[in-house]
Amino acid sequence: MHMVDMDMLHKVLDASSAQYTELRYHTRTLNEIRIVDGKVERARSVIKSGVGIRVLKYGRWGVSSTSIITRDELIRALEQAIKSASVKSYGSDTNTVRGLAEARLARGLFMPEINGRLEDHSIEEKVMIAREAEREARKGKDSKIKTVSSASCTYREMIDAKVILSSDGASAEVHDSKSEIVVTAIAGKGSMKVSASEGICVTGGWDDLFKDKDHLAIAREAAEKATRLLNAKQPKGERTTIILDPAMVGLLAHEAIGHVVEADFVLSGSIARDLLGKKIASELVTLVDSGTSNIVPNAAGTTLVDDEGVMARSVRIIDEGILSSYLHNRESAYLFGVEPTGNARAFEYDDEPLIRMRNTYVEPRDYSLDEMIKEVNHGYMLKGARNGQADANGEFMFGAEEAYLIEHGEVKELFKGVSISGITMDVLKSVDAVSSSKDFRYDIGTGYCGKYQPMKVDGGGSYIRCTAIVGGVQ
Amino acid sequence: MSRNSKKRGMISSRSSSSSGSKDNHKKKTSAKDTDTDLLEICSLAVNEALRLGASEVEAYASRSMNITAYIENNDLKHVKTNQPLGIGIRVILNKASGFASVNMLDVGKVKDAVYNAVSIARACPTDRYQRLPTNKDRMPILNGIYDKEVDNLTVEDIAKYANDMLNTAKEYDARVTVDSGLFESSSVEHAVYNSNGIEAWERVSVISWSIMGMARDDGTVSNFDVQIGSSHSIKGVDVIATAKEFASSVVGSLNSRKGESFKGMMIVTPNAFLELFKEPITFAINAFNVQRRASRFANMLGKRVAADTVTIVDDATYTEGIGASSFDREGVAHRRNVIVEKGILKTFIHNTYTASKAGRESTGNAAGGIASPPSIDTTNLIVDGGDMKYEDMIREVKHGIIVNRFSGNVSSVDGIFSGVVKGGQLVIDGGVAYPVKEMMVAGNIYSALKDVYMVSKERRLVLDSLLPYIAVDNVSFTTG
Repeated sequence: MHMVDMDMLHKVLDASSAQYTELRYHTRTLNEIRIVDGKVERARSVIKSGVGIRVLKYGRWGVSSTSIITRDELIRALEQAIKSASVKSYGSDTNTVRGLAEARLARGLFMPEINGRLEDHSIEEKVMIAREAEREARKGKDSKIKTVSSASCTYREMIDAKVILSSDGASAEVHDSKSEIVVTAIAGKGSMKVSASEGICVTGGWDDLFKDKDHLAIAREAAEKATRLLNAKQPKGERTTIILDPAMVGLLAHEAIGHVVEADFVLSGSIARDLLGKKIASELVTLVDSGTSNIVPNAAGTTLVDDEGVMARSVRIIDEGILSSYLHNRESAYLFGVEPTGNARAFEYDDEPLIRMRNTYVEPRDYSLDEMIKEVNHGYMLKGARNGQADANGEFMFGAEEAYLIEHGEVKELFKGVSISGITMDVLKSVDAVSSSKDFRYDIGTGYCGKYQPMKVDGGGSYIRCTAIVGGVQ
Repeated sequence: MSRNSKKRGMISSRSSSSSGSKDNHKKKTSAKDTDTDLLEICSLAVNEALRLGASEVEAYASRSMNITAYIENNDLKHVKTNQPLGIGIRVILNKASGFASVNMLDVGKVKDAVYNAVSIARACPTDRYQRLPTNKDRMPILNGIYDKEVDNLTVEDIAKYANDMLNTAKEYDARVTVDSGLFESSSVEHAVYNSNGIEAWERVSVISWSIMGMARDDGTVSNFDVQIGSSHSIKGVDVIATAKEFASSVVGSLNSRKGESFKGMMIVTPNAFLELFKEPITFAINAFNVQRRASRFANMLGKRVAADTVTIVDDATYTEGIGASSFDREGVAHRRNVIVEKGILKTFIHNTYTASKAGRESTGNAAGGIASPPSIDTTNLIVDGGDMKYEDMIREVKHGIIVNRFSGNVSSVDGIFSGVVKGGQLVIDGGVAYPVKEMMVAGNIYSALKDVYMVSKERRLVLDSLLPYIAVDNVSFTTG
């Protein structure tokens, strides 16, 4: 029994006059509980369903969608998409679609491994978990965390079911389950206040979410971090050596490299445009984007089948320092003469598939973290990811929650409010140490990547050492 | 309150437009969502929740028609249409609140959502401050935020506007490369209905456009820039001006050089103001954050939070801004709220929940869409202009950086910011010396507000914010 009338979808597909047509039925249930200072700030359940339609006609895309799943309404939306593809106001033929690359199109049923279905846990249990975690952060017995004046805990889950059909043979039913818990603590002393967050997001079930640590441990970490940061100052701004923790490595992989190798960015003139096959990083750097959760399970960006119905595969973007692949959809793969990588992703039914990352990471090597620290005369150890951004010209920035000064091989004072910036290739070439797989983890899954649409992605690695500009005071 | 008395709160902008009439409300809820009367389906949801035991219920529904043309790689990429619709139901039951939403308007799905909202409320602990607003007076009607001609725009029209913007930028200077952009029209109909007598409905149209990219010259790449425009009406669309501004900005930042690290004046453009100041200001004036003592402005009512050159107003009735509408997410009439007057904090912004806790009326700042219970946000954020011309401000600067855009992190709790200056220009002895690159800036927003040294006469409207140029002293700039 399908979640949507497959016969009706096939009939609409067959009725299309376009050279290529894609239908995506997507239903998402989003449940969220947010507790602030012991009160429920938000408890919601949101159902969003519909069919997204994308057609290719006269070498141009047209996109439409509807949440009303009747044959008449789907035909109306299809005709609207064809009308959009047929507009005449194109300034040039730069974006005329030359073709769609052959791909391993998905057929059948796909679902990630789930330990403990989220649907089998009651609203009451989820409310209780969030309340306990918030309370632990604010009123935990540990005397170190008495400084926390306010706390919040958000539990959120997204349960997806999709049917992806394309006129050239994709026919996949895809299920997904992602959940996250984030605790934020605000520590205060006089008029000084500082906030810190700790959280985890997984692709998987309830048991996967809490397999490494429980909600109370997450809460205590947030409270302790906020307390540590209370007395921290901003560092002096300078270009210096930095050691990045796995979350920061995930952010580096995502912001500094991942965005500039998205093939649509490349075609628009990103800095990676003419660099395929060239050395762009230290040979210690092997950087991968994968639809599967490699090395360790449950990464938040896990995507088995992309929204063009292409089987997602693992892509070595940088192979021992050499730029070896971009991230593609079927259109860009055709232009570059390569196999699609399964990176075409749409957030909800009314979003069109765009080239997006999934789980992006730097492969571990063989250094130990202790060795990496010992060799630093002056620099910073950066922990905990905040926001990041990258421009097509290769300039990127991202923020760290904690910055520990390293002097003469020893970790010293803690600083806060640090952002790092640099030019992608300069920073990648400066990598001179990458730690071993025992440090590896994914750790940016609680955030969302923005590119017209939000998207769940993840990133990580082990520790790496490189050089960049640390923003700070003069 | 009797349901029959509820027509009092009706916003009649519907009858002021030729596209609708109150007769629409007499329509039966049809199986076809596109024809469903929003107030009627909201009322059905509210009654269903009351039947299930809720003490207070609110339904918010909306329906839009959107057309968007996307630009990529110096050409139009594609045109997209969508017609999102749906309803969000908030119930209060035994003083506990639950919320559910569905993006369909057929009766069965809406009743399922009501059942979900009630189930969630039953699973949640009580909170004695949970309540919904009550209808008191007829709400004022805001004119000038709906242009019925927007409903008639075709995919071809939208593509043409996008193309005009693109071609203007390309023709301005051959070195300009447009990385991406969009032109979007949106015609929105929204309604709120609650069990305390609130009943409001109106249409709003919004047209917005953006263009981003850089300039390239012999292997030199300029800073990346983005320019944005918006209007409620077709008459207000000016893609040419936006495209020229973008092109001139990126060409002007070609041949940028690395500067020196120093401490000096930061001249903040309206775009950079949005990226640096808007989020922390909005956080600090939000009564929810004040009540949980997370706001830097808690306990500061009536006290100085900014230099006396700074006056900040939140005004949903300012119809040029796209944050304008007649009522907020809870159906409370919008109004003009003076937040900071000559540096003194005058009020916080409230929804009904925080107002209930503070023992006062809501300021009409309940915010959000159909998929969330009401939060609190600004509507149109307006910073008053000063008495200096922008060019005179620059003349006053001995050593500073014009920050055209900011890409970085700002912590709303402690105000600390750190990030990259985009499109920066070094100012030495009252004149622009050269464009700078790879420059980072750091400081504290709440201190910076007190150090606003100059405010320009000129102001720019950026979506829902009307902002001047400001100059702040003692800011740290770092280059590598």
